Amino acid sequence: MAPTKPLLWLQLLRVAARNVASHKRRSALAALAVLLGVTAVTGMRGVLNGVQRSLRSEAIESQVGALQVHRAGYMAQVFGTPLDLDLPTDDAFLKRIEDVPNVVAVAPRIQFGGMVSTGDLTTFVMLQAIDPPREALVCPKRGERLTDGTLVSAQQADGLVLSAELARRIGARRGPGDQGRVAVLTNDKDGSLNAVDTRLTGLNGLPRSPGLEKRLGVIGLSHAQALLRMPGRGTEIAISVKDLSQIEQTRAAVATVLGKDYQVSTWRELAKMVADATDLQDKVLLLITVVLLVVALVGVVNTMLMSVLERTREIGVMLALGMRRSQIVALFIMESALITIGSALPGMVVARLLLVWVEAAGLSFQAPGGGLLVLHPELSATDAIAVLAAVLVGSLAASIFPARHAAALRPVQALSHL
Amino acid sequence: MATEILRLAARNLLRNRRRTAVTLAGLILGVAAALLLQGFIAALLGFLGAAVVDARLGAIQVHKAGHLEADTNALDFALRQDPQLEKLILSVPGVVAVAPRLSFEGAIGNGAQSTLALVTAVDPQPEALVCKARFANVRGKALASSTAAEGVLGMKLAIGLRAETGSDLQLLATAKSGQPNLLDLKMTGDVPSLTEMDARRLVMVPLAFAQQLLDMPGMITEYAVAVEHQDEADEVAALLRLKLGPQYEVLTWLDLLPQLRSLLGLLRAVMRGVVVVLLILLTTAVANTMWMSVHERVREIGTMMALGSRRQWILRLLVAEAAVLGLLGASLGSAVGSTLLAVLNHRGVTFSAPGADVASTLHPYVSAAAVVGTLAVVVLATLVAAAGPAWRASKLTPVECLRAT
Repeated sequence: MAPTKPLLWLQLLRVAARNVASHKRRSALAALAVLLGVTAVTGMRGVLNGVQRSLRSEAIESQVGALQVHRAGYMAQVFGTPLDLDLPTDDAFLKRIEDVPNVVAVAPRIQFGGMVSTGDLTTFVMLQAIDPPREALVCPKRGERLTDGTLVSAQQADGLVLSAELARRIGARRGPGDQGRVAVLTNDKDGSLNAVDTRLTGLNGLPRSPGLEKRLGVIGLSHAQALLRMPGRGTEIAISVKDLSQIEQTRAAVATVLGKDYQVSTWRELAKMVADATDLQDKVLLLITVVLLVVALVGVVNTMLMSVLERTREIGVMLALGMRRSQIVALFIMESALITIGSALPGMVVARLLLVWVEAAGLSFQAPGGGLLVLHPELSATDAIAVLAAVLVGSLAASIFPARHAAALRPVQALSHL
Repeated sequence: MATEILRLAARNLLRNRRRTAVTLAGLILGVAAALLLQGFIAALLGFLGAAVVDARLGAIQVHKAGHLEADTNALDFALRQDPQLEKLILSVPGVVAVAPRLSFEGAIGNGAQSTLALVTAVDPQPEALVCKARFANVRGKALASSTAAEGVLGMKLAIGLRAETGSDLQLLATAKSGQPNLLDLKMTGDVPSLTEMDARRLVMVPLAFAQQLLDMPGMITEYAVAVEHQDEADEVAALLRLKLGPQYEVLTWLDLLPQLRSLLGLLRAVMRGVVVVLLILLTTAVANTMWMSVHERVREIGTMMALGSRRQWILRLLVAEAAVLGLLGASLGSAVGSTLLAVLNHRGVTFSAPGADVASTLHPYVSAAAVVGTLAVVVLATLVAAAGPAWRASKLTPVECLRAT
């Protein structure tokens, strides 16, 4: 009595498993290669995910925001931070942006250049004026950049943050005394010179930072608006979003709400270096992944070739007993799949364990901007499925030709084979 | 004897063509990929070296001690230009050229607006020897004399100032006395840059002009030093340190850019890791092939033994098979990899460095030594892979072989 269909497939699977098990060394070697390849590929992806997430969140959550709104033409000024291309910062205007789906919070800012002075000593500085409570929602990690003290706060509206180097240069020190008092001078919106008193509340920047990072400072928005004589105005609005993958849609939605007088940019344009670097890393890893997996599957291909060759007689018997050719093909595909899946899954487990170890070891890496970031590797289900799918496709490719070759044999021919 | 073994080994490999072909394909792919990877990393390192060393910093810089930590008041650590000192630097083996420079911060303006600038003042003749590519990408005219009131600007800086070749600009800086000083200059050209910072802030002016602006005649902030071989910068720097003594700070380009050093280290580590994994994968592939080969020839091996073949001979035959396989695969892989690299090298691979506005061209290459090294390691790996099966085959007894089906 012929077995029912599902039962037959189950039997085929059992035969496949027995065949794999009957050649332990061969199957083990083929499986070892796949395991190693999958471990390497998955591990690298996990580490890279961690690196990229840190870089991205470092850029977005401590500095840039996911989106920024400027007046049209502002970004084309390249280095300049013109005050005449300004925009309103009143609640009604901000509310229009806040109401766009996916937007979490908005924070108005002013970027401007000026001088900081302690009386005897004066130097250039590039200041960013922030609205503390709103800024905390858009760039929650901003405070982590400080090496000492606190960020400008709502309670202390006259606060000022400078880099440690710059503060040292002008002889300013944090504290209640006169040394904490720093005058900020700049031309206001109409070009006439103005100055305000501030108090040094925090120090940021990394020791020996290259370039002009040491010249970046932070000041309170209301204070800056008084200094620049532009009450209720700003030059930039930073936006945080709930779902970063929807960024383009959100950009379009904000642009539609605000009209053509305003320009909306994403973090990919504002932190181009981070975006470019992660894209490049992804491409390189993809290439490495393909090469490693193909080489890892060589053993499987050989095993399948061998399997067909040494079972020619057996295939003849099966064909003579009325087994269908498609079932023979399925048998070999199952064998190959058993080896590859059977080793890819443990490979992922090993990679996972390695990543847990990396996480526990608390390794850190150097960000291009200068700071040390702690590595938090992470592996998404999508990555795991992608690797598994790639291995499965490879396994199919490895077995389909030997399997078809086997199925194409004529019973008589196969039976007379030695 | 040896030729006979090789002949037999080759024939045995041809007996199972498909398996040999698959294994060879794996070897070829693996070796070619390893070479390509090395070629690209080398090109990337070379490119970074060229972009940083030849266009910007020079391989080594000599400052007055304390300059590195000084940052915002770097001018307090100026050196006097001194032919004796230049001679002393040039006398160090490996040094090929030396050029004086004055680096400082100032503000550049077009009359209506001004912005912060990172100024590098150079003496064009010696500078061209130290930084060969310093003026390579300049559009317009490079600096020609050491004294003229002219400047080359970073591309975005020029756009921002709405300046073009021939525009009149002003450079403002705080002179040594603490007083601000301002001089007019003419823009002779602009230069695209790899980094945002350079593109937006870089201004290059002649040395004597800058000394006049800062009221620091005969003073410089550093000597830039070119070395014969870029990868020997560390050794030459050590020699310079010994020669010049503690009143000078000798820094290589990687000391000046510590992030770059860690990035290069990471790149090399990733490359090594990938190559090691590839090698292990190739070893298992060859081992698998050899095990199968032994397995299907058990009877044959038994017959050979029964007919008087020595165990050692069997061992050698199987090792020879693996060696031929490995050598063939590695050679073909090297040929494929080298050919691909040659084509890519000739055509150039367009590459945009992260954050850069201009695309660059990479010319991947591998040294002959790297090719030979890769080949040798792969052949060695195949021998390792053959060791197990060959050993097992040589330990078989004729009876047990002939009984096997």
